[in-house]
Amino acid sequence: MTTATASPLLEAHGLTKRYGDTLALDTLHLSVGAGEVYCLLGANGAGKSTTISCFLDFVRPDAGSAMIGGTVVAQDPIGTKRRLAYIPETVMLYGNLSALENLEYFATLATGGRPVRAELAQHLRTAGLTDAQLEQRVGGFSKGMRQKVGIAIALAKGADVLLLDEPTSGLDPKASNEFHRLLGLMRDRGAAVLMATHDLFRAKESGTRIGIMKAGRKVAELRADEIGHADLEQLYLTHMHD
Amino acid sequence: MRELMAFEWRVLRRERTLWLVLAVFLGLGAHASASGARFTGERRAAIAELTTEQRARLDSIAALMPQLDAGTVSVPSFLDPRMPAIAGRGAAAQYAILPPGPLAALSIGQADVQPFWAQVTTRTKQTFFVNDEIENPARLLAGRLDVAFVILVVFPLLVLALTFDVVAGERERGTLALVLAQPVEPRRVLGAKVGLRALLVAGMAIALSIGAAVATGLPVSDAQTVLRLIAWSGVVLLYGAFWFSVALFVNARRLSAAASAVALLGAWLLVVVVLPALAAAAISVTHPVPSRIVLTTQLREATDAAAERRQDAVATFILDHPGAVSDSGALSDPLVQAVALQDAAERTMAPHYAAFDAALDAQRRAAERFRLLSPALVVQGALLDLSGSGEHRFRHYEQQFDRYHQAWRETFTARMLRRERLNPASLAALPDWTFVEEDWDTLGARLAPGVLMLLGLVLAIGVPGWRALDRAARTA
Repeated sequence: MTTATASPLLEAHGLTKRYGDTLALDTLHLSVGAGEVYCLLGANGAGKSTTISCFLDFVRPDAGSAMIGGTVVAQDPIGTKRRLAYIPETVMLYGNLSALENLEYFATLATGGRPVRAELAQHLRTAGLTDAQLEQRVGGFSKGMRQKVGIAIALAKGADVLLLDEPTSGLDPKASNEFHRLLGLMRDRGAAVLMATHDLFRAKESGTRIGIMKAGRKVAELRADEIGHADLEQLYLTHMHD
Repeated sequence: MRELMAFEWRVLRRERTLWLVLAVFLGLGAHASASGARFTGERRAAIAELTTEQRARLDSIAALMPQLDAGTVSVPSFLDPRMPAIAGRGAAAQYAILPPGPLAALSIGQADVQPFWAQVTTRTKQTFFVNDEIENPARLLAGRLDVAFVILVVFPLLVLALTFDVVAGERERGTLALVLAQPVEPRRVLGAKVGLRALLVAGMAIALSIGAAVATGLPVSDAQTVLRLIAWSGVVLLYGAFWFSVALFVNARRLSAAASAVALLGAWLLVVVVLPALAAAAISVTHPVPSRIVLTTQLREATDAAAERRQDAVATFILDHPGAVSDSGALSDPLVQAVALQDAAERTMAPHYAAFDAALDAQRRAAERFRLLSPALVVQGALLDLSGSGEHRFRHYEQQFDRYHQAWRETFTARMLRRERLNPASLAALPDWTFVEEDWDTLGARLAPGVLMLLGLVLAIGVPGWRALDRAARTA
């Protein structure tokens, strides 16, 4: 496992977002360096997905800023998106197209050029798809297989920032384990990963640091290697019941 | 952009719905083309029979005249074709034929209920347009399915089927989030989606227009036909652009795909069904069709009144034609008297005819104004005009007919009063009927307001629609 570098790839400075009367994010600060996996834990509505949306420019913060590689996302959304890959809870693809065709499209969007099919096929294989699955229409793919296509998009794009929004939710243990293997692969390549999750076990296993969010605020942050599974669960539950 | 459009096509062409909708559209187009071809075929056959009958009749009269002159053959005086009154009233009568419009096979319109020929005689005009064409009343009631109908009613549905979920569909399928996470301006992705669909819609419009023209056997090598076909395709393109704009506008409302579909179907219902029905109802209330039965009754009354004052009618007629009467015998000629009575009746009827024509003209003008209520009506009017199946071309025919009828009557009345006898040479010199199509300036001036209105609507709806859609597509 590589360690985080000094200059963070992902930064949130006083990120604040309000939806009507609801404060979705309340002066959130966080930073994620290269080779680091930052896991955001929290109940539904805690602000995890809103945080990720700010980095994607899907949501503009009311105050504060989300930065990628030192660039404020809102100021250069296209430039910052060149560096990131996004894997939502379910990677929704074009069901009538094959895995390779889907990857071809997203790689075209990502790079602006015409990608080489052989290289794309190799990315899909690296992500864990078999040769037969490359040409299959993704309409029949399981959630785990779709996540693999999502990882292949990140590989094809050469992304050094990964934004994951509950990517293993609903995956069976084998698929979840496979996904975290791929996550490790990305991390080892030096990517900075921000992952929103409910999975305490995986957060402890794959995460470098863990942040616990509640009502839009980060209420705790700790290094994953400094806490045991049981203590993490206890800490999480304590914060949730405060 | 080309790569993105190619990808979009890859996605779209694998949608079974697309092919189903296209098959229905093309199937209806083919059926409509066949129906149009059958209609014009029947018309041309009828016209060929009329022409043949006229030729044979005139040849037979021309052959009979020298024999009558030589006394080798004799016929009763009321059948003698040398007598101008006999020849002018029927024996030498000519057909004033309205040929099918240049693109009639594409748009039948009201052409199947309008008379397309009349035998011109010295009788009154009111007796002409009751010809012997028999048409299936059920078919008349239902109207024929023609290409214009497919374009007016079905083509918008095809456009809407292609465009109703251009953004909402991506959002609901969840693919929009992954697309927006890429370093590309949403406008480019959207441009590819909209651009491809615009190309498809334009392709459909052109394919249907040109395909139907070829399939119905229109003379596509004729410059007049080609010009009209280009104008027709332009109008269809503009109509497609209108519906495309409406679809963009609704897409930009951030509705669900289902809600978009319902909203667009509502717009279709309003533009294609409700507004035209309201316009028709409004015209029938504000400008009711003048009664032909009343006109016919008035004519009978005028004829009876003239017969009761026969001497006055003949005297007035003679005074109106000074120097035309060659001898006093003409005054007692029953045929001259009949013409005089007819002349007197028509003199009485002139203000009624004028009022009737004025009411029809007012109704036509009102229809032109109400047409601007709905783009579908504007396009229908333009397609009818371009195909030559509309009210205007028929009116143009009627005006030429009136002039021809007038010339015919003057020719025969003068000969009758001079008690001249016709011979083969004078028979050949009788006025000939030739229908002259409207010139482009007149047609263009009539089409311009509607076309400009459509263009204005496309810009007024499409441009803000595109901008709003661009904004809507920026949020997953």
